[in-house]
Amino acid sequence: MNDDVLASHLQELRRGTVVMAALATLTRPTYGYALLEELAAAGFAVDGNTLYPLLRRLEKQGLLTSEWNTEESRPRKFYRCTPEGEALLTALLDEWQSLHTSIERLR
Amino acid sequence: MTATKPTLTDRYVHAATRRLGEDQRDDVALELRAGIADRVEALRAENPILDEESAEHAALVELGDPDALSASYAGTPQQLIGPELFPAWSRVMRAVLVTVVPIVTVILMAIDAFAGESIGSIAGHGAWMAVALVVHISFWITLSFVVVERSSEGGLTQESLGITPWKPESLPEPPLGPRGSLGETLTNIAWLAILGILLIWQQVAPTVRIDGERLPVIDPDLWSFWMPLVLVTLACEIAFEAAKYRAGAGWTPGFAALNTVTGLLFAAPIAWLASQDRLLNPALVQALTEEGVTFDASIVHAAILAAALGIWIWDTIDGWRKVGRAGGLPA
Repeated sequence: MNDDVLASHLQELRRGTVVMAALATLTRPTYGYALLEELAAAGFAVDGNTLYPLLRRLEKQGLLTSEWNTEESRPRKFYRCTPEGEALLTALLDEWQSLHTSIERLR
Repeated sequence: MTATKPTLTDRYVHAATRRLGEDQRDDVALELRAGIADRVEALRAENPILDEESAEHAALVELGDPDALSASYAGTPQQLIGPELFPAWSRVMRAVLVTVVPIVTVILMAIDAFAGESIGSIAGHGAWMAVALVVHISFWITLSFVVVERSSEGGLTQESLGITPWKPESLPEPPLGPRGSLGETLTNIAWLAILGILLIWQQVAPTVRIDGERLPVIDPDLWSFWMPLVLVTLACEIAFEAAKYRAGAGWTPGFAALNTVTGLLFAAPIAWLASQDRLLNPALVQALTEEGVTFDASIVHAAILAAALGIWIWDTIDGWRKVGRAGGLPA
């Protein structure tokens, strides 16, 4: 199999999972760059230029709340899941499970 | 306002946030700054030989084109040209339009001048050519981008097209102070344009009708020189408004001085003509007098003279006051 083809399909597959991974991590308040590193460590390679706007979109949709922490050396915006965000995560995970079951049944 | 040179980060953050709405611009800027600073720290921790500046450079390269980032913050789809080519398309458009249009227009107008055309027809021809150039250039550049994009099968990258990828060095300088408001700029330009249109309209389609004859308010003889000059000074004022907004520096002493000069350029011909009692159409004055209207042309001229000078002085003082408020002058 062509490596480029594999890479592009894997990327397609992973695209939607970033939201799940971010919501799952943000049950604890985390700031943008720390989330980026945490996701990378967990195998979700996301770019800053994707993640920062994504966090804002999720916040706008009421799935995250944010708070500026100005106590440390530089001000950082900490994001956290709202109840709606946690509900969405549950719904997405359910869908994820049912998709997996369906695919297995098709093989 | 700081005297220090803006850093690459300053320039990047400015470029990525300048098109965002007021409500989120500062917030995004602050978060972006913190994110970049965190990334710089991490890069230097991984590789201690890296100096601050190279790390900053590398962090910005990772973040990529600020226009693309800005678009994804704003959530605005860039559809005619896909996201891969959009930044390049908009850069090419801007670069070509701001260089080619003025140069070609000036050359064409110079050719007209040598051919002995009247000033009115040179100005008209020039304006027409400028509009035609903008339309043509925009159309052909966009069409070529669309063709390139639609005809290539997947895997289309800026590199594959020979378009130089975005580099932090190409970041624009951020403005020194708060940008003047876009609303104010557009309002001023609209008023100036309306004034210009009224001047032309009263000549081309006069509304004052006496004995069934339509008479322009302003002396038609002035179109051989004075009225085109006034229209050119109006165009200068519009260009000044646009330039001031583009520079984004708000009111600086330089702009206030320029504002004084462009205002004077516009007011002077009108004031001069009014002081010579030459502004009003003599045929109109005569017709009005014959109609039995008590009408003193010299009073109208004095009023126009006073208004022209008054507006110029008020506009000048207003400009300098705004400089003072922006902190550009010692109080």
